[in-house]
Amino acid sequence: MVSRPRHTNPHVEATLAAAEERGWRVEKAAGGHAHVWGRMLCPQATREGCIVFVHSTPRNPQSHARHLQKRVDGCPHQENCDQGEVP
Amino acid sequence: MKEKPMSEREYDFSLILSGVTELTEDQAETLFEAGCDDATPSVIYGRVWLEFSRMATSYKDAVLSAIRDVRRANIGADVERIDECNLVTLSEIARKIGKTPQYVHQLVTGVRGPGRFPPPECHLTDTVLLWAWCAVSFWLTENNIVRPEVVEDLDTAYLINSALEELREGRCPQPTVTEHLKKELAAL
Repeated sequence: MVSRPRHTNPHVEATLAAAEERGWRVEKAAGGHAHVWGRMLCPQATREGCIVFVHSTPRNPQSHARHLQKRVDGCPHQENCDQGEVP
Repeated sequence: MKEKPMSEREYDFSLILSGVTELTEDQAETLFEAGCDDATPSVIYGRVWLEFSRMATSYKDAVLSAIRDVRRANIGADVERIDECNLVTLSEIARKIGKTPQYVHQLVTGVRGPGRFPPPECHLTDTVLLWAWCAVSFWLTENNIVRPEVVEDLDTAYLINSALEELREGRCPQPTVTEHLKKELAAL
């Protein structure tokens, strides 16, 4: 079980939890920020990996959750990732 | 001119930033406060994206107001382009117009439709070809394959990207290189 603070919005929290299932790391921001809740880091745990910012109070939480999901699905570092395209 | 109804709807688009290769939490906070609270920042391979879902009366208004907000944040970043490439694969054409790749392939070969589909521009890889979206879009609407509203926003994205590019080229410090090449090519 992951021991991190939960995001108060259920749509965002569900997306974060699903990303963790797929090997992403979720980091809470150090503090002092009114709007940046934290960051999601892709399984490529280096500087070259994907970083996605998570807001605490996005204008539309459902849209924000959809954006996060899009970046998880589109991560170019995942295994068997096809950078080209099958004709 | 007939006045359009001014009802708002949500437009999804992604902006690619220039001038920054990473994003600090402070910069993300500043973008949020400057009006990008409907955008999700991400960084991949040293490139910063802002994924927007913005309420506006048109796609153009949505994108231009987002560019204004990014500039207003004043974090040393500007908008390079909307994340819509003018060079597209056959599958991408299919996705954009909500059809199958098989359907588009039939348009390309002339098995379906009036024929004379725009020729491809170049190869992406040895086996994958790229078409210019603007040419394909024009052909699709001219031949009533898709309704104009299906490609309207994508065409607007292409125009905004062209304008952003021209503005960048205007600031390019060494235009002489291409000027020389243009003269050489014209003289052949």
